[in-house]
Amino acid sequence: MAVLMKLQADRRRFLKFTLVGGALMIAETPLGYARSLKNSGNGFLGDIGPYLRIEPDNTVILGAPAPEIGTGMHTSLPMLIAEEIGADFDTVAVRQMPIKLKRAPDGRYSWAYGVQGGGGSFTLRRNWSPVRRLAAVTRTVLMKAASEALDAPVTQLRAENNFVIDEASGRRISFSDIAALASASPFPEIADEDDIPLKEPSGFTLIGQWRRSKGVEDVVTGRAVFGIDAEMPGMLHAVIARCPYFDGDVLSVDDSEAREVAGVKHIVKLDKPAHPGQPYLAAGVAVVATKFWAAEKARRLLNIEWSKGRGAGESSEQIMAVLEERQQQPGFNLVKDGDGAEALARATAIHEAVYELPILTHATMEPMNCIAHWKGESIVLKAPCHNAGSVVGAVARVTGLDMDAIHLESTRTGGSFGRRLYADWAAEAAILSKQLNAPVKLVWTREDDMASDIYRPPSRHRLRAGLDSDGAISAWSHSAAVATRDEESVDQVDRMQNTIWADNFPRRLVEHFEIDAHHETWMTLNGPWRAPMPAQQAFVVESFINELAEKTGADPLEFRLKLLGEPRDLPYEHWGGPTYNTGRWAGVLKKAAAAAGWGRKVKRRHGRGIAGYFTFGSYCALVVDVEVSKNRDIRVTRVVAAADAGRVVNPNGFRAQLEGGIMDGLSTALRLKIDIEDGRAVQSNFHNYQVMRIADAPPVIETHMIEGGDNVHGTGEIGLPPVAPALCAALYQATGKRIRKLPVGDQLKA
Amino acid sequence: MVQFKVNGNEMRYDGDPDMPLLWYLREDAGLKGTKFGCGIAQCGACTVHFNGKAVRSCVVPMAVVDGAEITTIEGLAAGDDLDPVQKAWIEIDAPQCGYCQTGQIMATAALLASNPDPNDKDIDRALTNICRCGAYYRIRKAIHRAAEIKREG
Repeated sequence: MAVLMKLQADRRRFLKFTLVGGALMIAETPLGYARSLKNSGNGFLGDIGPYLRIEPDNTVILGAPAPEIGTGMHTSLPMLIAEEIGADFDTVAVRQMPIKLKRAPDGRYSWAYGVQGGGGSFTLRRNWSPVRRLAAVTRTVLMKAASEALDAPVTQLRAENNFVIDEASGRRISFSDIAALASASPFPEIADEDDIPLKEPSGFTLIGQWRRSKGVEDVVTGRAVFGIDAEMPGMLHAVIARCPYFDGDVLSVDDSEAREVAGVKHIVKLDKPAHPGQPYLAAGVAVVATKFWAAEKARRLLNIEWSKGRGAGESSEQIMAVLEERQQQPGFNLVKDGDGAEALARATAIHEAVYELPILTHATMEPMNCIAHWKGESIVLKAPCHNAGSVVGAVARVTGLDMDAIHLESTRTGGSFGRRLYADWAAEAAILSKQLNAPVKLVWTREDDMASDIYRPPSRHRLRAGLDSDGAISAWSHSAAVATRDEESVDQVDRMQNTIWADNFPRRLVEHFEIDAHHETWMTLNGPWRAPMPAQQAFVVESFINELAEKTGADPLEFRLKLLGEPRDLPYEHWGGPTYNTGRWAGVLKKAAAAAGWGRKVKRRHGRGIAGYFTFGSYCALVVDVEVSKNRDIRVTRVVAAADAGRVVNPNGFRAQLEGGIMDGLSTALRLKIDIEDGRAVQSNFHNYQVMRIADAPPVIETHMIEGGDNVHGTGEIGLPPVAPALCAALYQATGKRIRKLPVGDQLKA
Repeated sequence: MVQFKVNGNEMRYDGDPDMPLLWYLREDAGLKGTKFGCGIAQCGACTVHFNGKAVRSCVVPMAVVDGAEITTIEGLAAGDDLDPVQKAWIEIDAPQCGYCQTGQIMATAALLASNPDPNDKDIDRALTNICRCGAYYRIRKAIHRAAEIKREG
């Protein structure tokens, strides 16, 4: 029986303590979470926060506000709890919180249980204060209760390994026994929870220590439940033959053969949504069957005639030509400091280069999938999520349900890289379940994934710099052109946001600095892809800086250090801002260089390149070593990384994310691109979108950690941006060929 | 009707002979540790042992399974005692998102069965599974460590 205790009516109480069965549950109230977010000094105002449960067996459960997508949230968040409450880390389990929105009297929606989004390497940072505070207040209340039970003053007590211990007498009482006391008498009051101090970092015993990932045993035994493994009773299995043309439609369907496949229950035509924008849904034909295989087999027997829509004739080659043409004319001015034209006219030397970035697909290892069960006035969903809000929003839009009638459970998630910030797949599952009035599990195949992604957009960059007689950069002019769908947005700056921001490096380090931006609309869908803007700009800007260093005869490391100058904070009015520090940036460059033996000679056909970047609040520099064979085959032999992401919660997770980001960066820079022909994607699966395998992975990755600040930051994105420019610099040293267009592909062989 | 063994258990199947073994394992046998990643034998997320050899179950039709002995990730450990490969994977903490890892582990277990002490070149040749998180640095370490654990018995 659940006993619900309202322990205190004090307006200043922000945590709600309740007994549920034998467990003590501590949840943030809306006011509490909002306040602690405010105290954490950053974004996203939420409603109710993560919860804690003290179980009868003296273990602790954290209701985690973010799913595990591979970035270690279900390890680092319980570390914060264990540290602050005084628990043994091994006894802290994680449960994914249910996801729900609720409607306020004013009609606006808010999170029922706390912000549950993801993205931008922000999850750890957002939860850093609220989660620790939740544990600190809980610990304080437990200690007050223990003080009465043990008849000892609180000052004489400490919490350790799930017990409160009386240091004078050595007597102790477990958290669970204290929780049990709450059923007999009210919990002690706390005057003002805001006054409860969090542990000083100098007293941390767990934060900053290596800890193994929670749940790794479930992963290696196959017990971990991903979305694709989830079930609902009586569910049907669906696949959708989506129109491969981005703006096309179904002209006719012959499903006579498909209907003959045993197990096929329904064949449903899905219309192109009338609304532009989110969720982007393709027109198509869904096959719904008793098993996945029956649905997939039947789908292959459908005869569908497609129209090509407005994307007919569009190709990636043509769009690059269009972007180049646009760049012959002035675009719109994203930023203009000083007078670039005049400075260029005065420059001792001018250097110019053009860089091109291809379209990329996310290719999460776990394909998109979702189970939806329409219940008339509500819907229940199970899916591997990254951003729960977009799922709820998309499902509300296509079902007409209020957002508070949408119940979503997130499983473990087999990768996102930005793809699961969108929820087209959830909308499709919801549409099918509503139409068929049955629980439906929708699974995308890999071909579906690559044909109907929300891709990284293609972009073209022309850079021009003026150098003065001292070899310093006196003027910097960047022309950036991108092609996106963006039918919703008409804001010019907004349309550029996945490609370039006004505070692009090296703004504020060069007196005359300007960015001229061009946008072209086409039908290929686009959205964020791991480190969206930095991953593109690091290649462009850092490659150009390597070229300028060569032009002035300077060492690329020294050239950068000179450009960064004295350690100081400079404004950075974008994600990861409001400032960045030139000293911390220089610090990672120097560390990576020193660790890699920068400056030592390399052998013939070997190369060593350096680059660094500031990504979402963190700094990362890399030194990449390559060897190029006589046949011009490339082998990356070593990558040395140094990163400063402020305070590190789990060095194990920190290193893992850097290692993975570096591999992703290499994989992408070496080989990956999506070509568009006639308004559809050419690449279709891993045979022609060749994600790196172990044979091409560098055998050595060194990661060096600098804790240059007090804030915590996610590290899932920071390793990737400097990879491409450092790699291309190394290839240049090895071969004398500049790569200005990604992927590297066979360019060295040309 | 085909008869075969999965993790030592006798199985019978008389459904669609075209259905890949992967979907039999996941949906008929309820063994969901074997994952779907590409459907064309490229990524290896669906790797199982077929008479001791690593195969990609997404392209093995049920028609050819007759008489075979199949081992999936669920059958790799001897009861509660994990396989050396699984132990090494935990020790090194190789997984990130984890989706491909059961396939990586099955491929590694098959490699070690035929080559107890693989060098980096052997690993490069034998392990062609894709890890989209790029956990290769640790996967390589875990393979070497698994070989060590196995040798130590």
